[in-house]
Amino acid sequence: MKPILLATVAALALIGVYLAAGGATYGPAEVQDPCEPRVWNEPDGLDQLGQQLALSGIDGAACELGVTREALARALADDQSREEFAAEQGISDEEFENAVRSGLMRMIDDAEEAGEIGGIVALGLRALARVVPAQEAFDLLQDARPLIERGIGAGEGLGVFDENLDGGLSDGLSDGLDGLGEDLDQLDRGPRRFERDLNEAIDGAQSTVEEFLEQLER
Amino acid sequence: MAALAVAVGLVLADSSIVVLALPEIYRQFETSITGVSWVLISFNLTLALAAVPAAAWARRFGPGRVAALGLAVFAGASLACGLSDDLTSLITARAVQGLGGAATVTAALELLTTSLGSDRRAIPVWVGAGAIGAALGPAIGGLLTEFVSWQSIFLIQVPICLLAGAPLLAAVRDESREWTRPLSLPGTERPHLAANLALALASAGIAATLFLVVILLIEGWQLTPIAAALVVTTVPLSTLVGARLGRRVADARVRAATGAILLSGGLAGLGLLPKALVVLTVPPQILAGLGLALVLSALTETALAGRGGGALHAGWTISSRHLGVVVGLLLLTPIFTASLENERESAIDSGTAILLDSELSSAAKLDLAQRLPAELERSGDRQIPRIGEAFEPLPDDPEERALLTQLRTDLTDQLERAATHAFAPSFLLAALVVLLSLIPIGLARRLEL
Repeated sequence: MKPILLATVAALALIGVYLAAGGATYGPAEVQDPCEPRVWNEPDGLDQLGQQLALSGIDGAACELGVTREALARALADDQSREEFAAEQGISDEEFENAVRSGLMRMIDDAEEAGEIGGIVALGLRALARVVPAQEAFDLLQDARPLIERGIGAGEGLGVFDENLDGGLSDGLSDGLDGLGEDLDQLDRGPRRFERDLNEAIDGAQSTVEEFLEQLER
Repeated sequence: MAALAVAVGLVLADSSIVVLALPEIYRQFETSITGVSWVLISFNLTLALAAVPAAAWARRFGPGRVAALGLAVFAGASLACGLSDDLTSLITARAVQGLGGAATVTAALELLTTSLGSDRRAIPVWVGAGAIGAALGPAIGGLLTEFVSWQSIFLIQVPICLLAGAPLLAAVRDESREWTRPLSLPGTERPHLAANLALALASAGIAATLFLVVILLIEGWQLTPIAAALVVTTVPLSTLVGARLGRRVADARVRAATGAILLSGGLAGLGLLPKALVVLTVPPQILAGLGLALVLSALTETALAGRGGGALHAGWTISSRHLGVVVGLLLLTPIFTASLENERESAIDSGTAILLDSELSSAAKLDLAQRLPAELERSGDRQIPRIGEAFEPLPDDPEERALLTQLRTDLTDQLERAATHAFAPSFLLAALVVLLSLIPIGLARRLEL
C-alpha cells in the first residue's frame, strides 16, 4: 500500500501547489460591468479627453443594452458590424438610438463629475444629446472631440461669469434650456433649429455677462 | 524476436506518432480540431474493433500468416497515408492502417510466445515494445514533421515494415507446411473484465495526455513542432523510469492503482496550470508518464496472466486500450472545442478592453482596430487567434513603439490565458475518468473470471 500512499501524496501536492499559485482562476481577464462607474484616467490633451469621453459614452450605451462595452465598441466600428450586432442581439433601431443617447448622457455626467466641463455646459450638452440626429449621436459616441471643443470653449467663458453671478447664470440657463426642450417637444421643431437656438441662448448669455462686466469696470 | 518487437512498437507508435503533426495537417487541409482528431480516432477505432477478430484469425490460420498479412496491409496503408492529398483519404488510410496493425500486434504475441517458449517471458516483451513505441511516437513524429514533413511520418514506416516483416516469411512457410489450431481450455477465452475495463478508462487519459498537451503547446502557446516534441518527450522518459520503478512493486493491483492515481494527478495538474509556462507542464507530465507506465503494464499483465490463448487476450487488451483512447477523444474533443470557442470570445473581450484602455492615440487605436479583425477572421471561430502580424510594422516613434509592444504583450498574454483555460475542463474530466479506473482495479480480484 505504500506506493499508493506516495502516489496520492505526490498527486495532491502537485494539485495543491498549482491551486495555491492560482491555477483555478488562470484565464482571460474579466471585463468590467459597463453599468459600474469606471476609473476616470486623468486625460492629457484633447485626444485623450476625447477617448475618455467616448469610453464613458460606450459604457452608458452598453449598460442600457445589457451588453459589454467591448462588444459594443467592436459593433460600432462600421455600419455593417453595427447592423450585424443589432440583429444578433435582437436590438431595434429605436432601442439602439435610445441606448446611444443614454451613452451620451453618461459621457456628459462623467465629464462633469471629473471636472472636465462645467455645470452650464453639461446642461447644454445634455439637451443637445437628447435631440441630436441619430447618426450624429452614433458619431459622437465614437469621437467626442467636436463636443468637447464646443463645450469647453463655451464653458470656459460661461463658467467664470457663472461664478461671479453666484450660480445665477447656470440656474437661468438651466431654466431656459428646459424651456427650449419643452418647446421642442411641443412644437416638434427640428434638432438643427434647436441646436441653433441653444447656441444663440449661450451666446446671448455670454454677451449679457460681458456687457455686465464691462459696466462694472466702467 | 527483435523484428516482432519492432513491428509491435511501430504499430502502437502509430496510435500517437501523428499527434505532433496534427496542427500541420489541420492547417494544410483547412479543417477543424474535431476533423483532425479523426486522424487519430479512425486508426484507434479500427485497431480496437479488429483486435479480437484478428486474434481469432491468428489462432485459426496461424499467427505468422496473419502477422505477415497485417504488416503488409499496414505498410500499404502507411504509403497511402503519406500520399494522401485530402483529409478524407488520410482518415480512410488510417482506418486501414488500424486493421493491419490489429492483425500484426495480436498475432505477434502468439509468435513471441512460440519464440521465447512461454507466456511469462513473451508478455513483458510484447507489453514493453508497445509501451516504448506509444511513448516515443509523438517525439519521433514531431522531429519528422519539423525537419521533413508530416507525410514522412508515414512514408518512413514502409521500409521499416518490410524489414520487420522479412523474418515473418519463415513463420509463414512453417505454417504452410503444418498448422493446427490450438485447443482452448474451458473458460480461458473469456476476457478479464475488470482489468480490461480499467485499461479502457486509464487509456482515455492517454488521449488527453498526448493529444491535448500537443494541441495546447502548438496551437495554444504557439510552440514549433520540434519544441513541442522536446517538451512532450517528458512523458516517454518518465514512462521508462516508471517501468523500472514498477518492477519493485510485485502486486499488480497496487501497481495499477498507484499508476492510475499518478496519471490522474498529472492530468489534474495540467487542468490547473497557474500560468502559460512550458516548464509548468513538466511536473504533471512526469506524474502522467510514471502513471502510464505503471497502470498500463500492470493491467495488461493482469488481463493476460495465466489465461492461455495469448493472441486472443492480447486482442482484448488492445481493444480495451484503443477503445479507451477513442472514447477519450470523442468525449474530450467536443468539450475542448466548445470551451475554446467560449474562451476565444472572452479573450477577444479582454483584448478589446486592453486596447480601449491603452494610452495609444486614437489614430493608432483605430489603425489596430482595423487590422486585428482581419487576424481574428483568418484564425476562424474555433482557434486561438494569432495577432502578431497586426502590429507590424512597428512605428518609428519610440513612445508609440513602446506602447504598441506592451499592448502586443498584454494581448498575447490574454490569448495564452484563454488557450490554457480552454483546455482545463478536458484535462480535469480526463483526470476524473482515469480516477474511475480505481473502481475496477479495486474489484479486480472479485471480478476475475
